[in-house]
Amino acid sequence: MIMLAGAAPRRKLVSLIAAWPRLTFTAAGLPGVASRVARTSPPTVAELAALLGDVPEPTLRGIERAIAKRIPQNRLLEVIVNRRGVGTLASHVRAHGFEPLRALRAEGRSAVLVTWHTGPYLAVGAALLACGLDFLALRHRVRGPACAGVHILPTGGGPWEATVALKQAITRLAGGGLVVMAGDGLQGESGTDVELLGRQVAFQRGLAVLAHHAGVPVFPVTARWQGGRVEVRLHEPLPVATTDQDELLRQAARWLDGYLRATPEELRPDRVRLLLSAPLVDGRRASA
Amino acid sequence: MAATGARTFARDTVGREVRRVLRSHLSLRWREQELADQIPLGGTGLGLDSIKLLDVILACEQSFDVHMPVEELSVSAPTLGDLVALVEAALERAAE
Repeated sequence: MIMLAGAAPRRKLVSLIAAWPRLTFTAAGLPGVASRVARTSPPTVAELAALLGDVPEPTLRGIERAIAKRIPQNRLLEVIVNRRGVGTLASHVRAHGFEPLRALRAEGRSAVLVTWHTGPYLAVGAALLACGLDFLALRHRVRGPACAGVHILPTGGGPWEATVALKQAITRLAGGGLVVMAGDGLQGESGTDVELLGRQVAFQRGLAVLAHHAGVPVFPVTARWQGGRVEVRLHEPLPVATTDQDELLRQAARWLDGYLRATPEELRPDRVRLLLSAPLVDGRRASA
Repeated sequence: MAATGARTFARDTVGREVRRVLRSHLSLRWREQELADQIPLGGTGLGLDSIKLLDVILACEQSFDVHMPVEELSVSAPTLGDLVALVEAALERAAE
């Protein structure tokens, strides 16, 4: 059985995923394999109930099983992206709804694509490459080899590094291009209070600042597992005017809230626990 | 002298103008004479976070009518002096 510990097995694993991604991702989700690939435990039914509210217990058990299956799949996807680069998966993802983005780029216009820490979100870049769309991505840390068509800038090394990344992203948008960044960043300096799954959290303001200064549309984009494949979908742009930065972040949170309530199996365990540690919207401290 | 766009700046006035931008844009409690070149823009200095730092950079670009390639400044915690040098370099590049 494949374990992630040790350099040689990891190299074999990376080669295996690169050669047969669908087979490897499917196998990773099988019962009995999951715990050997990734040791993160899925959220419990009690934790899911505390977060999702009025959901019947059988449904919560189904969500728990689905999340447990996705943990090793997401872990393997992170391994391949961080070691071989996102381009490795370009032929493995299915991209849906990207026609408006292609048309927009054909006219030389710009857009911000907002991703979320849900599901196999690192595969979003692979979908863009599969569609022939170059992009600049902002990530907390830069990992993996360089890849043609992709420029990744780190933001997690302190305020100045984040400033430089945002400034370069604004320049990129002003010249015509795509910028990809997470919209639900919770760690960092100042943020805007938003409501997400009944909890009060602070979204980092980078997304709103970028959209405001560049004056471009913000498209939510999601990635989810369909068996051993990843489906990446571009959604309608957020409807708010980008001049109101706080409202844009609240709109982003409402959008993500709706998405997570519709697809709770794409919740990641670390995010579940982070949200459960946040205060409830009505001001009470979470008890879960 | 460095000419750019409709405005011209003598080298010794750049620092003063950057300080003016900094104070007016951010409503800093600091007096202009307290804003030494060595003071860090973030952290324990002026305490600007990444978004406020970005606001200052963009305000300087607007005020001096230049493009400032901030990625060329290879420091992790820039000072006010670094910012002034960045503006001066941008002005020189614009004047060439």
